[in-house]
Amino acid sequence: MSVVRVDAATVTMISLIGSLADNKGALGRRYGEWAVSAPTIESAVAAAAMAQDELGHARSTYPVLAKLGVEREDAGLDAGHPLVVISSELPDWASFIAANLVVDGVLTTFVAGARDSSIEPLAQRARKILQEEGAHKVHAEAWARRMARVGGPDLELLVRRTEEMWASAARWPGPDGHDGYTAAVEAGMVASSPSAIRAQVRDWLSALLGGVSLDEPGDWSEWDEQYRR
Amino acid sequence: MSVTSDSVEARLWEALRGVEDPEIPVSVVGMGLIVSLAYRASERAADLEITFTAMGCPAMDFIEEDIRSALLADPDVDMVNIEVVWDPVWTKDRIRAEARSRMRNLGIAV
Repeated sequence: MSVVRVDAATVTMISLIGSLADNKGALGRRYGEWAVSAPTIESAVAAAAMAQDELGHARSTYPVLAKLGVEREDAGLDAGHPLVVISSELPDWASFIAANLVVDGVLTTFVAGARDSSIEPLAQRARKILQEEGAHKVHAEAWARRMARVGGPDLELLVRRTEEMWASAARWPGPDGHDGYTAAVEAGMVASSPSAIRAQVRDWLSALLGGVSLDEPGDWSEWDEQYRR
Repeated sequence: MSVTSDSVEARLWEALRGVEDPEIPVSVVGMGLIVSLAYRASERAADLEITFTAMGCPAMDFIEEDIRSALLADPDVDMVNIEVVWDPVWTKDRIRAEARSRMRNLGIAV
């Protein structure tokens, strides 16, 4: 990867946009793997449709990097550095729902804050991504409510998977007060601070899944700024 | 814009009306995919902005190829520039009335 412009805000946005695309691509793969084994045929069809959406989001997001002066040689759906929790096959349906709730939730909340970004190609794509993510949210919420209603081991597993996903995805926006992120907000590249993204997703998930424990990430000493994990 | 450019643009729009969405027998114009079309006589170039119904649309490449072929078939066009844009966001409101009618006749709810 070669970076031409090196101001702090742009470097942070390059990391955010590249990682957004990487994680969208990984979500597409993970969703796609459940398109033949979801609990119901309707959910399998939904998984396939969501996979197609996510792969489209990834493909459409990578070109924004070029507008920021970055040529990423490994940009593509077989490469990238997604969050560890979605870097390999999801072990159970609860993980699928948790990935949609938490990982997609965090990414979409970030995208919502880029709807009026001063990086116009990002703003353009954000509006379309948000349109398509609406259906993903409906799917995740419907399954979470269904599992909450039934209770028992399925709900316990969903809560556990949600907490596992949160431990990873909550770190994606980065630490609050990060110089590059703060500069990006000041430059109008993105609207929501890392802690605001986490708070919004946490409030939503807490209302949806009583008993879930979603702590603010603590130690950032080993956080990888480039891959946001 | 010269009269020549106007007439070429009119022909190009007509050519686009012959390019169908591979998944639904409705033209890309009828589907509301074409955001803008301009002809530059000095370059003999057609500049087209297109959007798609979904970012993951599997037919995007086919549609772009079909559009390129259709526009290059015009005797006054040597170059076609296609830019995919996501704003305006495509919604069903972009489907033109004649296409809407055709889709209803095919049993597609719009």
